[in-house]
Amino acid sequence: MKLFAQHGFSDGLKTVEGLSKQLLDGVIFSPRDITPEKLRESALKFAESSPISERLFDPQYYATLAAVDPLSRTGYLEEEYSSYFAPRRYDQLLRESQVIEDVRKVLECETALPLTALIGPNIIIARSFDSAEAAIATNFVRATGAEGKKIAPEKRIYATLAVSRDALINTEELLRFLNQLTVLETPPDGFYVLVAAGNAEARADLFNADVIAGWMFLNHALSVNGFLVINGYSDILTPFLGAAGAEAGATGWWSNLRTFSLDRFSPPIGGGRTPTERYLSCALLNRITYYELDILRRRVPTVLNRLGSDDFYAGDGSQPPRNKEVLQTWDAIKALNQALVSGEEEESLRRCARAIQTAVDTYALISLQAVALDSKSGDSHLEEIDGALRLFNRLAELDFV
Amino acid sequence: MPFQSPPDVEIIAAFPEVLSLELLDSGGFKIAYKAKIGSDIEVFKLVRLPAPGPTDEELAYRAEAIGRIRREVELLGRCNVPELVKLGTLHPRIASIGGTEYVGYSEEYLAGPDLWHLLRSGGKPREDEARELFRALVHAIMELWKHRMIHRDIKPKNVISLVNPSRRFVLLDLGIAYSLLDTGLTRDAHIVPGTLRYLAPEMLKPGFRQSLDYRADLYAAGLTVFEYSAQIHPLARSRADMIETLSRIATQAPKLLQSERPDFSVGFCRLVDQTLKKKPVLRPANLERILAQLEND
Repeated sequence: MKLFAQHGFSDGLKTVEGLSKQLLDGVIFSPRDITPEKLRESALKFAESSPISERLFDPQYYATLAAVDPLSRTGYLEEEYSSYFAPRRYDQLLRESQVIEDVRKVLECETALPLTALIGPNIIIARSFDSAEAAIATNFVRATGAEGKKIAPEKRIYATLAVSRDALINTEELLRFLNQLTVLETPPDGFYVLVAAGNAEARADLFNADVIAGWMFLNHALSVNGFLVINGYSDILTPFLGAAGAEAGATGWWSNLRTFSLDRFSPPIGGGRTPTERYLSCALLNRITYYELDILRRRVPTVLNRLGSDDFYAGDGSQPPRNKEVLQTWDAIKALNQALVSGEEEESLRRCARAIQTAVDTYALISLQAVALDSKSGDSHLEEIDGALRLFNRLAELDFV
Repeated sequence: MPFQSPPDVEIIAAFPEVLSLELLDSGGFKIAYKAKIGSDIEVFKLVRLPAPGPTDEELAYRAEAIGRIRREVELLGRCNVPELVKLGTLHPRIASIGGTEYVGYSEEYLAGPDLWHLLRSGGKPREDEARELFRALVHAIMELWKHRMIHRDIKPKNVISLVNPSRRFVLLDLGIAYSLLDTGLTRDAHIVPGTLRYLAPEMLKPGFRQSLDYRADLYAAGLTVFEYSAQIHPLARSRADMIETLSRIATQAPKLLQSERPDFSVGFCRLVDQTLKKKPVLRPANLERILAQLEND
């Protein structure tokens, strides 16, 4: 399973380092945060660091609906990507001709960039799969397949499929929607799947059994039907999505590159403080703060991944370099992908279940040491992931076996 | 219950193109004969029409029967793959025999047993034969779907096995095929046409026609391949009543092909098992990909 950098503002040398250390298989650019000129320059550097790496571009078209607000934070999109990005209203997108035209413009813009595969535009299905939004989204997928084959027949074409967590948990509607999506006459080669939380800090939005199971099922159903699936912003859930059939996942260095939310494009609502550096522990399937790691590394050594990136977190409890935090994340997720995702789906799911049990056991050891963890570092995610696996097995009819 | 066929001489008198008849099979309203028509041996089908009674209901019933034959013949005329039976030389014609009206028409004669008979004669097929059957059914489904049609009655009885290596299996009987492009022919929307043991689970849901597509045929094709390979139906039991069979279709896990045919490859068994999923979206809808898998795995 592949892991991509979810690119964003202030990359520095993070992605180059991730690629050259072979922690990453590619990058998904964010036009909100990079000009086309800089993107070309970066792509060249990335190709030098890892010639076989993939370079994709999330057109972030879904933000066109937020762009009608003059205070929206669309970054470079409106100025630098004006060939396709302009404020849109739903009523404009009810016209299929508009959808086709917009898809064409996005794909033409992407063909002018040094990308290895193209991602079509889409809006977010925010409320329900049984809605005008979902019908518009289906038209975008159909148009991406059809236009992609005309504009760049030599490249793989992915359609964006962006859904809110609220839409995803209605299983009946999800099934009806997927029923249509999987028999389109002009399908793309794959999907770039985004699951939107209310905001990037709303961890419980996505760490919910129904949401994770729905996300896994989406990957499974698309993959059974022959589509490649790249999950944006999938972060720690990446290996679980891989076990369900995903081709790739992605994560980045800021919290808004680890969790997808339209909040990133909305008017600002006041500043926040810089978060504490964290360490992603494979054994815990979670991040803990660097100072929690420092306490635990001696008392419960299994929290350590024993990977090269552990060196960034010195044994003396000092703060690790902030720009190395994401390298540790990529290293850990890559290791989890390798450990949990096998060629056989049933085996992968068994490994995922074992990983959850290992995490439960490790948290039990921490508890015996009377170490108090902060709320984000705790074990509340495990019950949700465990519930998600059971629910997914039922949805995918694997519990029959 | 099969209806009483009219005497051969009366049939031949009503359809003078038919020179001789040999009974092959009969159903509730249809009889099939091996017939000499001109210089060819073909299958002559004789379908009894409901009497044109005075009520709207009776007229509609008759119109449905005629409509089904017309659709079957039109569709067979449009399809052109060796995996589907071809039309014969006698085009459908209504004729009165002994005061009852019939439609007679012909299809090509396929000299081979159907799979239902083969299943009962024992002897399990090799994997390459099962693969070839699956390949043939997928080709037939693809061709029908090109015309936005669903067969709705794929089952061992409707598949003929031939010795011709370039045409090993042929799918018959489009009598209850469903067109997504035309008005439905079944007058009562609650009636589910097809053979119970081979019905896709989604066809048991109210309003199923809204979302029906070729994946219902893929399910029935998977069942047929399973039954041909393992000599047992993966869900139904021979002595189960209708309700139990329906319940099994809707809720029970089918047997796994690998457990019945451990000598078959894992990849092929998984592919067949995947077509038997209850949810259509979990069946592999990419038919080209299925063919590639059958070719390469």
